[in-house]
Amino acid sequence: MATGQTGAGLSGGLFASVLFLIVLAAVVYSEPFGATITYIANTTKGATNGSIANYTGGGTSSGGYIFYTNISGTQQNLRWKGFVGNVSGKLTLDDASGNTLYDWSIVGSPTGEVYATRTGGTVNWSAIKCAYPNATYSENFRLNHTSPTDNITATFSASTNKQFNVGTVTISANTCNTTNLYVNDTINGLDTFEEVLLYDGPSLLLTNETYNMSNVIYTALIEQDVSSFDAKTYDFQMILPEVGLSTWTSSTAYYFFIELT
Amino acid sequence: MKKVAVWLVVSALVVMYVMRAVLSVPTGPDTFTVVSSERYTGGVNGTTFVAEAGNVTSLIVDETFISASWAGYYGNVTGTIVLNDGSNNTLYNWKLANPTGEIYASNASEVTWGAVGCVNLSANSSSNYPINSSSLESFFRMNATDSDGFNETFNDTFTDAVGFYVGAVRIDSTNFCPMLFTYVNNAYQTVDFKEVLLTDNRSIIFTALLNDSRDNFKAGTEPSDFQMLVAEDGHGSQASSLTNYYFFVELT
Repeated sequence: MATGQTGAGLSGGLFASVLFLIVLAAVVYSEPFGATITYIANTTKGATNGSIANYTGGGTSSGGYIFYTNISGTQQNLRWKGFVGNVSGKLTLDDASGNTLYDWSIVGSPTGEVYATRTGGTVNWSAIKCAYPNATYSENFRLNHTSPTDNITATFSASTNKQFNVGTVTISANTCNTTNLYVNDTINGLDTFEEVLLYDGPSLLLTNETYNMSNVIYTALIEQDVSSFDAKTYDFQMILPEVGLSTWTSSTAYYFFIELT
Repeated sequence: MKKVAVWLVVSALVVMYVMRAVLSVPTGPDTFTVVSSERYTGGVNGTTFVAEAGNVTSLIVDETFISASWAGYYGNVTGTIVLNDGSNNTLYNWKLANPTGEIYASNASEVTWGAVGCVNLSANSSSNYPINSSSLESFFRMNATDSDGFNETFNDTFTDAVGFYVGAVRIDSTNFCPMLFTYVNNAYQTVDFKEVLLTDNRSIIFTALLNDSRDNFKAGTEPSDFQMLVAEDGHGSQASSLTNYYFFVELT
């Protein structure tokens, strides 16, 4: 990286000190970074027509007859929303003003994580850890997820995460609440497209007020061009909770971060 | 691969956003399976009574007649809530262990769910209230004096303050919806299996609120998730025709 143009010891020393500052600045920011997002499209399950019933009871009319029927239904879940897509990026050596000294294109598909959180402020990445049960319960409460079938606790019910790093923090395998998004329209038996619950709160179990000041961070582990829920290849898939009220018609904003390795 | 301690810039993150449905509306079920149908046949043999000549005998004759104006449906509901795209590929789903919600039976294949409200049985016919007791009984060829007319059948009022949602439309005690309770264990009851009468001002929508495996109308213990009545024109020459009903389901 350094050129051989040092000559006098003074100039060589100056270059070394400048290089050190750039590296030092980069080490400070060796943690997830705000992502640039390009929106492509959105889609949702269409409504289906009613099922016609024009049964007779053995005669020519249904009047007076009682029909024993079994019905199965599929309902689009309005308490969750999904994000899928691809990740590209580059590694760069920039100063504080964004001027690039040098950059490298990432060869092949990047690995790492995509993070999403509702906080608009700073995430305490150095304090990141698995989300405690109380943090998840608090999240259910804040988003009115009252159904035991599909609330956040029920959705992230496994503890099967792979080991990964968030900045300098190592998240050990099989320690955090996890779920796997579907592949090829079916339940994922390949342990790909993991999504993990993290949070940046304190280590001790404190009051609900403290948990309200902490952030749950939904974390999708990036895959490399893997067949996804619709048989296309994506780098990541994730689901995020929306407000669970029946009357909710707005959209909850999430802030995306990314870390590439 | 070892992380490089440099500035990381993501040049582009392409996202396709699978959006929540803008409108939640009842939807056609995945499967609708009629397991059986049955009807009371009554006694086929006459009842004999011996009377002596010269006597005047008073009798009370009690008979059960099958209604030609109504048909019933009962059964079980299974459900799944999903996060699907427009091609119905599933990103994630959740199995409903104990489905709640409603079953709707409309005489129209398409319902304007956003315009749904309670039927006002006592309203005078007008352009604002085309669906009322008079128009319904006329449509199904019931006589106004029939014992099994609409007023006589939906003879209760929905008084649940919490109510339920039909898509985004809330139905609760403030709507004064006509309601009936179907029977449990062969007897009248007022706890389970409520059915209300809704309309979108074009079609009639019989609406059964789901119960979770409650003892149904049959004697003994037999659980069902829903029971409902739908009107039928089984009178005279129409006894050979059918009224088509379109079933929808909304699960919560």
